[in-house]
Amino acid sequence: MRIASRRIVIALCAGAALAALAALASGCGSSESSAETLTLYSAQHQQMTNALAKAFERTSAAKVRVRFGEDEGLANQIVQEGSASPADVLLSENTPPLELLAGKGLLAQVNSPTLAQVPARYDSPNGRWVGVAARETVLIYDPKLISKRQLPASILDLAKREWKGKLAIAPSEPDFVPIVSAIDKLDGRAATERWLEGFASNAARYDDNEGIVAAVEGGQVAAGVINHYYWYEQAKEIGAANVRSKLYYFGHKDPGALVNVSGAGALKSSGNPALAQRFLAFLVSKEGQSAMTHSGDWEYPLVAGVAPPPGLRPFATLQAPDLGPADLGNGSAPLALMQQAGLL
Amino acid sequence: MEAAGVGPESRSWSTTYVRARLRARPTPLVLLAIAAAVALLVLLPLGFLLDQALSIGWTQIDHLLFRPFVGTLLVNTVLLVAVATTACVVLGVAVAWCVERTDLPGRRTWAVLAALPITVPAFVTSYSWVSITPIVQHFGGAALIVTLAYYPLVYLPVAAVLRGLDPALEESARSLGMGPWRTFLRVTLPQTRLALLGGGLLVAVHLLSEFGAFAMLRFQTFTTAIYDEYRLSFDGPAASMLATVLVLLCLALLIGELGLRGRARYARVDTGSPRPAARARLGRSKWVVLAGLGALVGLALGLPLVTLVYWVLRGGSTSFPVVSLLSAAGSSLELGLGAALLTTLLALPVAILTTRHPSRIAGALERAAYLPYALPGIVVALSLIVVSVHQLPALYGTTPLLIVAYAILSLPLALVATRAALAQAPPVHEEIARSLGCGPLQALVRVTLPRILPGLGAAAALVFLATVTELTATLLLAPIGTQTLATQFWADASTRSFGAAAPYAGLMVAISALPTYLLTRRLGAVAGPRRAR
Amino acid sequence: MSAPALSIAALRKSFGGTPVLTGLDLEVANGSLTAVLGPSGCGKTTLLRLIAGFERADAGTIRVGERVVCDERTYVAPEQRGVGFVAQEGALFPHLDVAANVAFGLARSQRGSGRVQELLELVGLAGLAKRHPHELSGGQQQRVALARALAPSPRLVLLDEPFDALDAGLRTQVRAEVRAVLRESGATALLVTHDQEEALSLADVVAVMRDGTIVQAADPQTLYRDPVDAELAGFLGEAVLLAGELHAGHADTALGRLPTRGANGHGATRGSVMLRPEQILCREPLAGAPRGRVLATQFYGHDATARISLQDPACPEITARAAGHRLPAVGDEVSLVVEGTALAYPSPR
Repeated sequence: MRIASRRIVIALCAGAALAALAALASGCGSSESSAETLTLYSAQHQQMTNALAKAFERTSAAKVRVRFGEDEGLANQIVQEGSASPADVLLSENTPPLELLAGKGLLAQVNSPTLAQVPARYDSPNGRWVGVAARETVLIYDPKLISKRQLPASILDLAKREWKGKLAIAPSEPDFVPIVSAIDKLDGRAATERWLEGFASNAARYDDNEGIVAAVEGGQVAAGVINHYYWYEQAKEIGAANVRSKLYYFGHKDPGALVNVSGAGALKSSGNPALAQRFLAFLVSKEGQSAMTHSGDWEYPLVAGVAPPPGLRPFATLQAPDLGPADLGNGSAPLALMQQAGLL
Repeated sequence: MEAAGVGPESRSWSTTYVRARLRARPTPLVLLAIAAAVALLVLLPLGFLLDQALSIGWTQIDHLLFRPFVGTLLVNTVLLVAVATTACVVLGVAVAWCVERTDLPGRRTWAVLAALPITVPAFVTSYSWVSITPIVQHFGGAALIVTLAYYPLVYLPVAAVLRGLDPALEESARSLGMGPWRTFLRVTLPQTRLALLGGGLLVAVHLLSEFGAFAMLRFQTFTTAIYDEYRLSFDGPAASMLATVLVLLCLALLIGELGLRGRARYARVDTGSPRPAARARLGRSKWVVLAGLGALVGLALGLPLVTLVYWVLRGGSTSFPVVSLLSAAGSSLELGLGAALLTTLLALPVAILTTRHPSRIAGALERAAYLPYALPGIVVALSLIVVSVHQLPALYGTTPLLIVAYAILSLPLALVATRAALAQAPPVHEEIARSLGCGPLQALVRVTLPRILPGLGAAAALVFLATVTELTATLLLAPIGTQTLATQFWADASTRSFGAAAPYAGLMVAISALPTYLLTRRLGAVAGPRRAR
Repeated sequence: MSAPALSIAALRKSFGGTPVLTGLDLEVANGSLTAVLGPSGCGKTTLLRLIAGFERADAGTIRVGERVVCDERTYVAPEQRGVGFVAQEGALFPHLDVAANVAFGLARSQRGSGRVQELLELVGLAGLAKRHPHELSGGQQQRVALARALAPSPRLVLLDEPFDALDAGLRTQVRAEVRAVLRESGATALLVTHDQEEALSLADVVAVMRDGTIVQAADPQTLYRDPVDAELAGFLGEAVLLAGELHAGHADTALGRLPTRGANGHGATRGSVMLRPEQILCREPLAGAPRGRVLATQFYGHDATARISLQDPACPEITARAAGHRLPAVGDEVSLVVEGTALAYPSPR
């Protein structure tokens, strides 16, 4: 036993020494760079973020350091960091975190030429952040269980009794709340409440979009409301030929065809505001947008003239409702409605 | 060789007496101050939590806490903790008994295999189950899967006690006419009570803060609801309010465990026998036991590993980016070792205080360490951000701060192992060292530490395991640009690129295997060499 | 004359409201081996732990040599007292070999100086320097523990029931060895034990402890011969107590008129006298001598005891000791002859 415990000590010491070396090495590495450095907090997918960062480094000679995370973590982190935040830019997956920071006065005004690159509907109403990419709400369904004729004209139809037990939703995904807001906006409070009630009794509750895709793909549920993005990811992973489910697009400016926007904002506390603005401008430039569409990700570009990733329809043909994040509010009203309906 | 030199009478007298004496010894103020400082560090997140929670005002609290959904969460959380903890205890004890006290063929191998499920992150286990069958979603499946993932926390300490148990106890029971079953229930089992309760408490408190597995299994608990609150309304204070419920549940568990523990204390098993224990003969039922163990290891370890292999083979995104794999593995190792060292170091003074100078204050300081263990990682991480960004800006975003976060999140694991080791190393050696001219610190270094080294190794290994799979705090606190195996796994898995994610998970399991092996060997050797007389 | 190696005055200690030491006084002369003798649980071990400094006294003073190590204001840490300690079961450090155990308390510079070898030779274990504790017998472990405690040349060595864990055959031998080592090293030692035979055969001075204080401290013969009260007499060995009328220099008892020592009051008082069984001889029936009938005998080999009921019905049974080869048979009628003087204990008024 003495020998074994000595071995543990030796292993621990060796490990500690290795760790110290690694720390030293990384310290040396970072002190070498004398170029300007942009600190990016990104809740976007890693491959897309890395593609954007690489492309920006090529065009600007600046270095990009990225903290990856999720919307809720990064936004709350920046709130707690306050004026001491090391972040220059936040690239989010959805707009509520940007609205949160804007509301707390933590975001700087975005340069107007940058804002002008993107349809105004997908920018911050008061110019605090700029839209970068979009995802579309769709219905994923199993063609063996749902015939073409059964497909609904509107997302509102999914609250009808014939969908009972056939539907999967992920009400705690940030993508879901805006749909409720959209219905509230387009069809009124009473219709929204009825719709939520119908959903609560029709649908099985999943934790996230990934879960719904897996469930429909596995034949456990007939259909589900998701972002188009996750279906394409699944298809890439298991091979297009093996995909059993299909996507149905509501179109016709139905609230079910709502578009979710991913955006970016520069922090007021940034130590290098000019570089931060350059990065925002890059994100909505032709180079930035096409770096994004070629990253292997499946999001729509928001800048006119940039083609979507192969396999996606042109953004202009989606027939999304004329609602941007600004029209949808901060989400507290739909949250209360969802809580009232027992979905949360 | 003689049997133990102290008769049963004088032993029972001397244990109560020793306890009274330990109580009466003056507590060194320096030690108390260090332990209090450790407790304070660990309670930091709690202060942040209360500050946030109370800032939302009573109407909000009323609105937030007293809605039907919270009732569902409370029922879900309490039921799941009760059922899964009980299952872990039953399973852990059964496996420990079969491996340590029977003539099961291949015992050494089973001992290691049965501990290995602790190396598979619960979210990996959950995903592999979900990808096979949806019936594991909801209550039953969630309870089953977390039981498979966490029963080693009970199995390991109980096995250690069974291994060190004086065979004379069981033999006397048999000679008094008790059958094997009654002997187990009335003699063997009570001996493991403290290890069993300690392990059960770890499982229960850990389940309060479990997120990844339950999210995957579509099972809602307070912790998943707290993440939802962050995700949907970005409302930190509201989420904190929900988290205070977790703190209350954790307090209830701590009090409950104290009650169950009753008057038993960590016994000194110093004078174990050099004689190997007689093992129960399984006879023909050994086939049943072998089948059961095989099924357990297959479900808890084989299934997730097979799933990983399947992803690698079938995934469209499968790739082996060697540089990224190595650098993530390097970061995970560095952070894991750093956390293991720091946490064990922090646990030591607290454990010394509670074992050498037991008192109400010492007990309270030790138990304070469990509270952050019940909190979701995001709460702990955010509190450290608040403190460090404003008070210690030089530390913010550095590896040391992340390691401190790991220490706060895993201190109870180190405490359990360190305390057990100290309780089994008699204080007489320290006193002799003092009488030979050593100061308290010197006595610690020259006598106590070498003695409890295996226990410290076990503590470090447990912390290492917890650290390597940690995600939330790592994302928020790691130096910008640092990627670990867990964050890389998450980055790929969150875009459904399971083929790309699998190699990271595989490496995570691989680098966790060595510490686990040490755990199975060393947690049992904590008592040190048996003394021959 | 130099100060005693240890002097203790009015020492008090209680645990959680239970008093253990209640004003204890004790002195240990330089170079002596003193035994503290008392039943289990009387506070002997606590006394040692207070002297070693493992615990703090509630009140009283402890001096080691000239130096106060403990009183109301002072508390010297154990490592600064120069007091060695040998624990009940040796408590050798299991992670160190014999030589390293012995060298433990030596300054770094001294560890290679031959002191270790010297001590191992002293305890007769010179060949076992590289063994580990679990490879030693119990007696060997005790001797290593003693060598370890002696190595830094402490002012005083404390031994806590050092032979308790040894089996009976080994005990006598290890006892003799330890005593020889202590003599040879010239160390001052304080030993606690609950075994009166051990205390009497081993120590220069035996201090008997009862109810948290020392009731009597004296050399073994004095103590055995003149214990301060009847209870102590019984604790130190078998005692025959006879009620009687005490006069100056003699007492009238069931065994007739016996010469006495101690307690020479004025005129006759009620009281009792104490005889040791070996003072009472069984003889063939003689005229004029008190008689009794043998009820039972207990044979020990070298000697034996006989329980005898006297013909005087008011008198209890008494025990007499006889050489093994002169043991009377059960049922024999014998005359009892008393040698030497009896110790008189007047009844408390």
